Amino acid sequence: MVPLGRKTLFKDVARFLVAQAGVAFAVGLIAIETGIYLGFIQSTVLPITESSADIWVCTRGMPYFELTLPMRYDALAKARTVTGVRRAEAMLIKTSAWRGTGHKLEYIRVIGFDPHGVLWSPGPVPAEELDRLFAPDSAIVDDTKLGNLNITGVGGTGKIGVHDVRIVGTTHGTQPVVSATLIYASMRNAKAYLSMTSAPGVATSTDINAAQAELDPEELARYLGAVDVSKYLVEQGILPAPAPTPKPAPAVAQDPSTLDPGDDVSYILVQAQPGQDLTALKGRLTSELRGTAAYTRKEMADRTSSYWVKRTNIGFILGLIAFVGLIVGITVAGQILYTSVVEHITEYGTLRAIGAPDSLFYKVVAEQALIMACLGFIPGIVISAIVAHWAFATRGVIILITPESAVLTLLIIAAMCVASGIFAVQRALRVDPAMVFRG
Amino acid sequence: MRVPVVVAARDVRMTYQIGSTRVEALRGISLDVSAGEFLLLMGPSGSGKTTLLSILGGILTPTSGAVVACGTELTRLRRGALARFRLLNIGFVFQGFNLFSALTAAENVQLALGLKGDKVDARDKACELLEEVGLGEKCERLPADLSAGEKQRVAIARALAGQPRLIMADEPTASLDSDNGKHVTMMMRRLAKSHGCSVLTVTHDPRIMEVADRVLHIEDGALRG
Ligand SMILES: Nc1ncnc2c1ncn2[C@@H]1O[C@H](COP(=O)(O)OP(=O)(O)O)[C@@H](O)[C@H]1O
Ligand SMILES: [Mg+2]
Repeated sequence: MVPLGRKTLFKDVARFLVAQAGVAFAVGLIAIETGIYLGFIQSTVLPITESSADIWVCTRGMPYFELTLPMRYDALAKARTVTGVRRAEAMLIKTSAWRGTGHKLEYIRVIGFDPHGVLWSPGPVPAEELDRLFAPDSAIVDDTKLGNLNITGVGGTGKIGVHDVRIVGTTHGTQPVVSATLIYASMRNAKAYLSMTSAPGVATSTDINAAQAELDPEELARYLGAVDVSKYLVEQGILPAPAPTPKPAPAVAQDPSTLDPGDDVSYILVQAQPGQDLTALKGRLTSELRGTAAYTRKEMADRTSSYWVKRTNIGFILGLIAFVGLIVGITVAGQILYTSVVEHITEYGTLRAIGAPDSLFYKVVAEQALIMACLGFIPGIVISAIVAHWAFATRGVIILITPESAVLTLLIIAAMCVASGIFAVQRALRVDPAMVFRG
Repeated sequence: MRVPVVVAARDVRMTYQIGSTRVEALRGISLDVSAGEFLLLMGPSGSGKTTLLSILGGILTPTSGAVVACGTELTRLRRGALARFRLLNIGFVFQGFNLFSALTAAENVQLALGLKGDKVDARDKACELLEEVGLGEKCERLPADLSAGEKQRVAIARALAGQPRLIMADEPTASLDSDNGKHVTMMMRRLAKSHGCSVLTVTHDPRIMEVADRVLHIEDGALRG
């Protein structure tokens, strides 16, 4: 049989290419916008999915990874004694501010972890860079966030609280899009950075925050209602002073991977012994550690992603954009096929007058739809992949295009092309066949 | 000896209804087309020629009346069966040629052969038919690369594909100059005779009248004389 559908499609090369560009655009729109949504969800759970811990233990009421109330460090030792626990490590997460050169402030979350631990690490960091975290006042950051910290690379410094922190290594692909800049440090360094009472007794976190905001010392003193506070802050090294300022004591004095029993930690990460029933182990952990909740890795990730999707508008907005992308993409693809049928309506009318069976019309249009979907898909998905690669490389933004989502995009586009083609053909079939006699 | 009748129409009426206005396009037409006959249908514009042709060819169903074509009562057929009837029994030639622009001359004919179920050696048969209309050399040309007269000859070859009993042509020469028109008409007549099929053709060209076996005049939806 003469391939009428294919030949008609390829007849007008310019028109065909324009149509293909349209289909490719539709594919790109769907792939990128759903990819942004899926990538966003994946990015929010990066710190969880990158971990090999089977169970995450934290205080009750944790809504998502970044927000949980502290528990005591000695819960770690207790967790290690629970039957079925093979290994346990602690992790600390708290919000602070980074003061870069030129006093630029950046909202950060400091994540304290055991650099020699096996249950959590900040992505692909070489062992020697992890070792450098044992030095006082050191930290690692995602390379896409160097600019936010107002530094250009390893060796850059800034202030967290009273500490002059040096970036000793970088990682990549660990930074959730929506989160404050994550700063990775050893437990003890993180504790030091986050301590609001490093000036014993007097200075409150408000004082320090104000000091960080670079108030004039006199002004600050007036604000606080005590003239000698500024002098005190200067003495403590919190404020820069006309007089030479004594350096704060180095943060690390003891084994940097451990803390004191009463110190705050956010999570205890647990690796189960092989063959353990995780539900039972969760039960044993929460009954042993009072006031805690335990989640499997998947539960932890689901909790965090559903927080972003359901409790913030970011998930909603990105979901909406993805949905709109899907609809627009579908409409564009559908419109193209529909137009191509309508453009050839006289030829369809001729076929009908000659007496071609209805099935031929469907065969012709299905052939065209599949050719257009497949040929438009290839450039569409390639361009999307390039955009995704670029976004990840330069911004650390994940646009998630998996083989599954790519195939699904192809199926959606193909289905839409076929459906709109069939819709158009039905219109063609309803056309009065006597139309062929009218000039 | 009685000549067999290919198409018999009895009291065919056709009323078009557009909104509240009714147009009586055919007002009780009865006629017979004999086998092998070259029949001419003439009449002023709007007199109902196309409507009659469409009804006799099984493209339109009349409002009332009966049409028996090739032994089949057309008014009883459903859409699908009617399409199959057209496919197997009737070849159409249109004023605007209606070739498939993406297909070569040979492929246009081959497509018709394929649709009619004649798939064996369709290629060779298509070329033979084009040979018969004098286009043996131009089998591989696209319609855009053919002159108007050549296009209509391809259309005639396509209409002849699959040995139809009847060819319906609606003003086949209207888009051609008069020499070409005459040439195409003569060719159609000759081929119809040699293939043994009847032709019903609508025309305004009085010079064609001489070659017709019979001329019907239609006016205001009714046959005259
Ligand atoms: N599809 C239609 N709907 C309504 N009126 C029509 C339609 N086709 C033809 N007519 C009317 O029927 C009459 C006969 O038309 P037609 O058969 O095309 O005449 P001819 O081919 O002789 O010019 C005309 O008045 C025309 O306006
Ligand atoms: Mg007409």
